[in-house]
Amino acid sequence: MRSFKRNGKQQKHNDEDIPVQLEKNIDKNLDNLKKLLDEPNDLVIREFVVRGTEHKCAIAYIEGLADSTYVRNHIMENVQLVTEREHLPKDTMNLFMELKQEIISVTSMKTGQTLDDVSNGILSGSTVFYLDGINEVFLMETQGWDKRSIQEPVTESLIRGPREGFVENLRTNMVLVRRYIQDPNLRFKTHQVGKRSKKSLVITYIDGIIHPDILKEINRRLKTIDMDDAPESGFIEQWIEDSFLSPFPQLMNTERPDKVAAALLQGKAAIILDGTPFVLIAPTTLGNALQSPEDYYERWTVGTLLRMLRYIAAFMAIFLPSLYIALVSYHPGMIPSDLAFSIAASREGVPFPPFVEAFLMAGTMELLREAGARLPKIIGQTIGIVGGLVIGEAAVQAGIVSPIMVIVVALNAIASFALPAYSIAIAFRIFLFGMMILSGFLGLYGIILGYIMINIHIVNLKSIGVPFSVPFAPTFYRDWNDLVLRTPIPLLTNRPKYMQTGDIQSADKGDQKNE
Amino acid sequence: MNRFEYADNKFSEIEMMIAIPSFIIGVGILSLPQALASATTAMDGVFSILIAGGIVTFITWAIAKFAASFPDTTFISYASLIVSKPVAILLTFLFAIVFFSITAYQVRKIADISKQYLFDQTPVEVISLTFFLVIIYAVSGSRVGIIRLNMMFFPFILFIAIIVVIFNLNWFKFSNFLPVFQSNINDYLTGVNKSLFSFGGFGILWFYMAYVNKPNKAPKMAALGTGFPIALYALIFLACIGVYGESVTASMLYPTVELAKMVEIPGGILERFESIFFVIWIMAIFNTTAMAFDITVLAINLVFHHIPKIKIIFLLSPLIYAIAMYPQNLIEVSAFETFLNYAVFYYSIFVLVLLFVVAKIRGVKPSE
Amino acid sequence: MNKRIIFILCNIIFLLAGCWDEQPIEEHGFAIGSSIDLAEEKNEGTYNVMFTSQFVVTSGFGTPAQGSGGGKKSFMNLSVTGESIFESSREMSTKTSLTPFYEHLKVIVVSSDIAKEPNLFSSLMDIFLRDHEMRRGIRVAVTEGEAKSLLEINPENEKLPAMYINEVLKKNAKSIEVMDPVTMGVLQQYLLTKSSYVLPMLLSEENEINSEGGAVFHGQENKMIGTLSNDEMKGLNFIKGKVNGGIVNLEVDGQSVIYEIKNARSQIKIDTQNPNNMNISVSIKAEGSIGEKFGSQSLKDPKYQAKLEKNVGKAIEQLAMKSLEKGQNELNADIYGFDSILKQKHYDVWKEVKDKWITGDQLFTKTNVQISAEAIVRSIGSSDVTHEKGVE
Repeated sequence: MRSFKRNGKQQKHNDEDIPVQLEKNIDKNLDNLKKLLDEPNDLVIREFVVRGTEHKCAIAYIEGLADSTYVRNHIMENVQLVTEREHLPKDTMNLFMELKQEIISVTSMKTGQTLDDVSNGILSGSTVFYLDGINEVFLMETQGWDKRSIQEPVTESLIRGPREGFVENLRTNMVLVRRYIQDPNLRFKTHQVGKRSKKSLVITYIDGIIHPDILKEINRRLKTIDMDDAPESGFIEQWIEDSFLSPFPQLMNTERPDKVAAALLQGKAAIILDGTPFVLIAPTTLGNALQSPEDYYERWTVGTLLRMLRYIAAFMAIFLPSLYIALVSYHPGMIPSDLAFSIAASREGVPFPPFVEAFLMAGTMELLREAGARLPKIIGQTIGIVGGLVIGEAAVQAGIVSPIMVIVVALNAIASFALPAYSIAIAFRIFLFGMMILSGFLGLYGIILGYIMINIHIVNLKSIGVPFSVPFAPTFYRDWNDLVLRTPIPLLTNRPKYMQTGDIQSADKGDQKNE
Repeated sequence: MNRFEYADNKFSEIEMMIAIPSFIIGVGILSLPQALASATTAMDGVFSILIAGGIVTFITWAIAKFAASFPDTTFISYASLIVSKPVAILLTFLFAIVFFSITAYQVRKIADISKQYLFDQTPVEVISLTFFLVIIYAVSGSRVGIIRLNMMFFPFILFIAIIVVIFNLNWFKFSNFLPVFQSNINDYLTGVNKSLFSFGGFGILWFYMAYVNKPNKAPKMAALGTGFPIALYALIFLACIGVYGESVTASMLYPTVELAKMVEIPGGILERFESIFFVIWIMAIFNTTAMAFDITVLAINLVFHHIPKIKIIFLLSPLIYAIAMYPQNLIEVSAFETFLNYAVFYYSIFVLVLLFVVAKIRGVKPSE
Repeated sequence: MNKRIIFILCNIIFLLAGCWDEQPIEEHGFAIGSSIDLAEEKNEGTYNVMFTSQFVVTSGFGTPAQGSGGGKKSFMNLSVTGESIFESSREMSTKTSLTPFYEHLKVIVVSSDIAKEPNLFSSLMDIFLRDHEMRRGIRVAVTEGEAKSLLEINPENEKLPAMYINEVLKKNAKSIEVMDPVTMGVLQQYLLTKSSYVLPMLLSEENEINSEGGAVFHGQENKMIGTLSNDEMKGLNFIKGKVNGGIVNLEVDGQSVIYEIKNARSQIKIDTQNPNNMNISVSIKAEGSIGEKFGSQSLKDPKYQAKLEKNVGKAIEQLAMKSLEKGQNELNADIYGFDSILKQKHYDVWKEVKDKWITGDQLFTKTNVQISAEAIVRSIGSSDVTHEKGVE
């Protein structure tokens, strides 16, 4: 498959004969282009004459990447049918300038001098215009391939909130962000990633809000990226994250432009990669990972309760089965007497110790989840029902697991689905299995040691230099108004303090500006 | 615009404030009510706690104030400024030994108490080792991480302690508090003596003050921080007396955990609250131990700068574990404890007096 | 990297080799009730006791889906005779496939034969306070005759006899004579302070167990010295002010009236001017309502009500006096907690008289206790008079 060579320079061209600079002769230029691309059959080269003159010219583009109707209407027709003008300059240079300024009606164009410019332009969907006798070309942006229209985000659906989601097209995605924030300080800075794929990557932020150090750090890390291709923003995420040993996602990904806009306003930056609808938000904290945009769209009481629910869900997603193991196999005294007797009765005849039982069931759960995600939607649901109900019921009937274990595992799975971000939910699943091992070994003592270890990891973890555990520790009490609690919107006047934003207040209340 | 200060290796003064109680609160309080109840009559022990608390708060403030006058300077550098380099190295080294022993003691103690309330068969060696591995993991991380862990765990610790007291209100017999002021001076002094040692957390200031963001604010905060354990200990002691009465409290090994035994969670979701209480309390013990080990490493690092931190940790760990496992029974452990209590407490005061007096005599002024 | 993997592998092997305390819940034999009987007296001071534990047979419980276990017995009693309870309980584990597990123990019933031997009872209680498996909330009761038989009855509404005993002791019934349950924790306090105390007595009849009177334990002699009848228990509870409901029968103008107590509180004042002859005044205040009344007197009549209240007070006083009589003169046991009040409120005097309160000069028997009781009728029920005069 793909190889990601970091070292070793990419070979420039296969054929050493092809000159780098463009030549004046149009035929030679076209030959060179054909040679470089090895005459693919979707390369369209159309040679013709500028009307009323003897000047040979040609356009080249790749079928499908460029919009051929657009090329015909705005380039070909204009050059071929210059009817009103009888007196085109004879001089090649003047003609070239005139063509650029008066005749070709393309909105975005630039000139190129090298064969590299030409090939890069063509491969990104531009149309090249050659004029005989000139060693320069026009590169006109005529991109027009088929793209997905804006749809509702699939992975993050909300009950209330905008229905637009990012698509694969970079421009569209930028437009989506712009439409949310019409601020002259909204910046888009382009990087190019992928030695061979030459993907555009845009980092967007609001100047004056974001802390310059964060921006500097993100830019520095983006510059170090050295790979052949970045097919998805996951590649970027994994390249620039702080610790690759951590199970936690240190950058958040989202399909929702409203989420990105909100993050930008909090002094964060977003990284949009061409070709993927998943936009990265950097930096991210643990608190962010448990928030959903809907917390803000619903009233604050609902928002707060939902957040609390989510924290409980997070706790259950990690600890529930291990607590069950600990209680049932180490501390039966902690279970209320009547419940203890009925658990004991229900486990009568189960051949495995609770640890093995829990591992079996949680493993099955993972299998079901993975199977359900890979299958087409309709079959996926069937798998859920078949797996969840039938296997669970049958396993209990067969006496392999106890009914309470099934309840525990099901609750645990539901809790992990309640988390708003898939990437954090999946990280929690890793902890789940770790905790089950610890609890199977040391009971409650093991669980608390595991909890302490997770905490040690979290406080040492950083996301683009910002501690992952902020604002819990280091503590910024002021930011707690939007953490577990979501205070009413009129009270949410300040941007998070931990982001050390340039402009502190998000609402205009007096002239407080930079500290 | 602010720099990203909190992301660096510095503590805020609030973090310093929480570090003090986090270090103090540990295994000490679990048995303190027993010691107090056997020394004093009824609730009089609470006055011993308050007096001892007052003394400790003052010492804490004094040490912080002294250390704060040398901002951003490590203990060894200002100590060498005052009492010459060799003496400073000796002082630092002694500190290392003291905190080294605290680490070993805590590692041992947690196993002993766990054995009482959580385990039956599991060997002490294993309980200690697993706990100690977690400590090593914490200390291998960043120093500021350990301080921030205090911030993460401290609310839980306070919460569980207050829950225990509140749910015990049901069993309170206020007549148990009577009679008041019936102990004689000697009893009070024994009480003060016993509680003083359980408050010995100011030693950490010698080393951590160098990392505080705003050293001039730290003394006040450190003194305030001592208030938490004083209030908490007083509360727990009162609860023990209120629920059990003086004679029963004096006969129990760990009255604080026994207090948790009485708690009945409404709705009866869980029984045996003492296990939950102790499990949460492990966080408190963890904080104490992690800081103690961190300071051991830090102190040694100050003497031998060129040895990397990780190497020190891996060299010390087997030693600590071996020492922790050495005592054979409860009596030996408590002898170790008594010795340690004296050592920590008086050594810190000795260093304070020594440095303060010599600095005054030689007129050493902190270089601003 | 390789080293790291080896390290992790070693850890996991180490972890899985562990699990010393791991034991699935169904392998525990949950003991929920225990009884202690005297088997024989070997020598002076050494005894053989029979320790019986009631274990839950969980398969008898069954899950709701499987039905209720097909009529299987849901408990199993095991008895072992030995010198110490610890020894017996260890021996018990050899008799069953399950590991005896005492964390769910609810009640201990002790036969009065055990209780009457000096020091034996308190020594036997030691394990229940020392062992970490035991809770401090275990309830303790005494029974006349064989304690084991209480664990063998077949209660109507409970599956487990021990649970049934537990419910009986919980003082669910609103009656004055039933005392607050004595838990292990409270018992320890009594034992440590060497004060006299009362434990509830249980009486079994057919498939029923009743709380009947109390067993009086003498602090100094450290053994059971007598029993209190139901009426004496009432008096005791009134003096201690621990009445939360119950009824007092009395007669007003020759007609029977039932006074239902909502609660009664007491205030004890000790006059210590003369430490050798103290005056103790107990004032009891009761609140309640009329539960049932014969005759046709109107309760709205303030005179009648005053008379009624006075009679209730007298009835309470009588009960209290009767109880006090027994405790003070017959048993010489300060079960009323006068000693702890002395200690709490008159510490100086207490230090002086501590050694001659029960023993020596027996100051307790010489104290002069005055009891006064007041009762208030808070409500008279929903109708005043049910039949008119003259109809009788």
